[in-house]
Amino acid sequence: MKRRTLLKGLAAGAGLSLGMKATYLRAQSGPLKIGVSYALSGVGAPVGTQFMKGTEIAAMQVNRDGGLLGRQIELVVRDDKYNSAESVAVARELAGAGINLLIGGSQTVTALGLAPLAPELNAVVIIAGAAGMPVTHELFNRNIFRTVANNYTQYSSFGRSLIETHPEVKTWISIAPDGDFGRDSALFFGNAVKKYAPGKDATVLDTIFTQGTATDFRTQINALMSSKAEGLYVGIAGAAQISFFQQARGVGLYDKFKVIGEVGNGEVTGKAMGRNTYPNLWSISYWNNDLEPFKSNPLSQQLYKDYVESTGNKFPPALVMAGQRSAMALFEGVRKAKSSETDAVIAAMEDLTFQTPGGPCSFRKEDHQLIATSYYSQMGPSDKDPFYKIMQMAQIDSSQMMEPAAPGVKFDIKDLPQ
Amino acid sequence: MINQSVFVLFNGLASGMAFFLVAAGLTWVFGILKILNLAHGAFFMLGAYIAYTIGGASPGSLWAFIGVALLAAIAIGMMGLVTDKFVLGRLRNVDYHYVLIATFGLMLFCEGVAKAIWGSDYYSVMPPPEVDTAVKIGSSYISLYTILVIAIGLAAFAVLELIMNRMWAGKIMRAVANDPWMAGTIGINVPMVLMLSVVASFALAGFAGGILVPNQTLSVHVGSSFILYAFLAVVIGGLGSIRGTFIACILLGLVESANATFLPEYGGIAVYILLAVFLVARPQGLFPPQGAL
Repeated sequence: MKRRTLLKGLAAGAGLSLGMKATYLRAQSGPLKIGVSYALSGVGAPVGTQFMKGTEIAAMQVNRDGGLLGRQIELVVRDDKYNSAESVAVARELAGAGINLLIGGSQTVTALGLAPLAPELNAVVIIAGAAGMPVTHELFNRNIFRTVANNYTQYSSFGRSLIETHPEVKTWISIAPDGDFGRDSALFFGNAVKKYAPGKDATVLDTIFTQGTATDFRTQINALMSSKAEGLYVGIAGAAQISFFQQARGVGLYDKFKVIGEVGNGEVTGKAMGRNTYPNLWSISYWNNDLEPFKSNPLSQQLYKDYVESTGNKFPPALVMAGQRSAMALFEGVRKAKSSETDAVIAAMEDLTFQTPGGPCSFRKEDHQLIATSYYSQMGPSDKDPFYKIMQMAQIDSSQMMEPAAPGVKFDIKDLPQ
Repeated sequence: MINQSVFVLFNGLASGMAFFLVAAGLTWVFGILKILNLAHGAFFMLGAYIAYTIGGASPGSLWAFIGVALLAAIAIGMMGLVTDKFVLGRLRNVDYHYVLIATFGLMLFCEGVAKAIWGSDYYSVMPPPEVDTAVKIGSSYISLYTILVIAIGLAAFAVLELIMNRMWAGKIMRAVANDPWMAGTIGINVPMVLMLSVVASFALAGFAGGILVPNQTLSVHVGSSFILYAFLAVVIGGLGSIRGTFIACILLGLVESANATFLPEYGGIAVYILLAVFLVARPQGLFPPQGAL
């Protein structure tokens, strides 16, 4: 080898080494980049944008207090468009940009694309809002953490909560979309009603099924009106649920039922229906700053203050808390790990307990399922802006209502002790 | 069974008339201009938003409700005037592919405008107090609002039939639709007739938006729930035929209602079977266009 060639090779090697070191140093000293992938457009946007706001506030709160590991947090936000393929593309793009900490999956449809990808990308993925059972069952991998209750816990707890607050309602019925989620949520709800009814004397009638995207519910409403039920679970979500209430109200369904529980639209329905909100409407909720236990929680007060300051809106949607909690889970994991490296953050989060506006939360080590209190709000009409109000919150300790951890195994309710 | 049949009949008629209110403008403009306006549902949506903005969530009375729907019709009709000047009028003599692309773009534009003005939130509008209740027939609960929709749908059909078959304006439009060149040679102002046809079609979409908004969640997607059936009705009825579209809408409504009542586990499938049967047995539709309308 000629001396000149050898010198060139050494110089190139040194340059490459210095360059890499400089890049590494820049990455360690610059902002800590966190990928965020929610449904910010399309039919999932009303949910995704609320998660986004909560996540933004979490990052702002941490940055205000000095950041994480001495670095400011920078959210790199992408729109998954409520589309599974898009969520996969977004995750790959973020991983390609060197981001290994990702918050996403504001709905199950996008989480199902995101979850299996996490090990390949060597990323920590927070599944923020997807309640579908596969996430912590057959799709489970150690890189994902779910920061909401799953469907079984959520709707079993909901059924229990409603029968405990309305023991006088003896006959129940559900209307739900004819799909996996609709069938499951109605089944879990109904089973819990029967199980926790005083004296176990509640009757649950056959569920009335419809299409999840249907716009005309008159046939189903007629069947509900003709039933003997006094309590109703509405498993239809989104815009379809509001159409259901519009059409139901006009034929007297509000007078027939003593209580209605709905799948989780919450304030979306309240805001749309306003003065015409059903007067005893119970909803899966996450947060209401004016009511206990949130009222006396300083973290809740701070979240409310930050939300109002950043939006000018005095009526924050409950999902904002879910978005903030999801981000805080990841931030606290990084803080505890004293590192942003994937393996260190995973190890730290598996034993993590962190405080939220809704009380303390932790993860079940076996399947990375969040253990937290489940909240249910009672909503009704109001004469004051925004023309609906949350009257009270009920709560159930989700640890009492969780199925045994079975990572990698498909969930089947028949496997549970009846 | 009798109770269920009565319910199917009422429900089917109500759905059919709702479809017709949307489809009437669509088939009107196709009959005269031979334009398949993919943005028709978007203007229906804008009509619904305008009615909500003017009338609020709870209309004060039946007449206020209808008045607001008419105002929405006027507003959307004016939009039709602008659209004709800047978009449709420039597409008179081009290949229909360009028309489809242009109206599709127009639909996206309208949705973007609606989102910018009203946001992504959902809204709801209640029926006027006079019809905000139900009557019980047998074991079936029939909303008075659905009876109102049936009545308005029948009235709209009667007015359109009257205009097209009994009035000079309709005869002029039919003449232009049949042979615009010949119509021009006998002194008819063809561009003016075409422009007025677009305005009328858009106004019908706006009126439908104002009348039907109490039945649906108001969002930028509100048009999609009706427009699919409107297109199916136009195809089954015969492109450009108001009479055919009217009958097709009733057929679609009844079939869908019977499907939901008697075969709920196969929701929505009967409508597509009906369409398939018509496409095979009578692809030209019930009243095929012989010069249209």
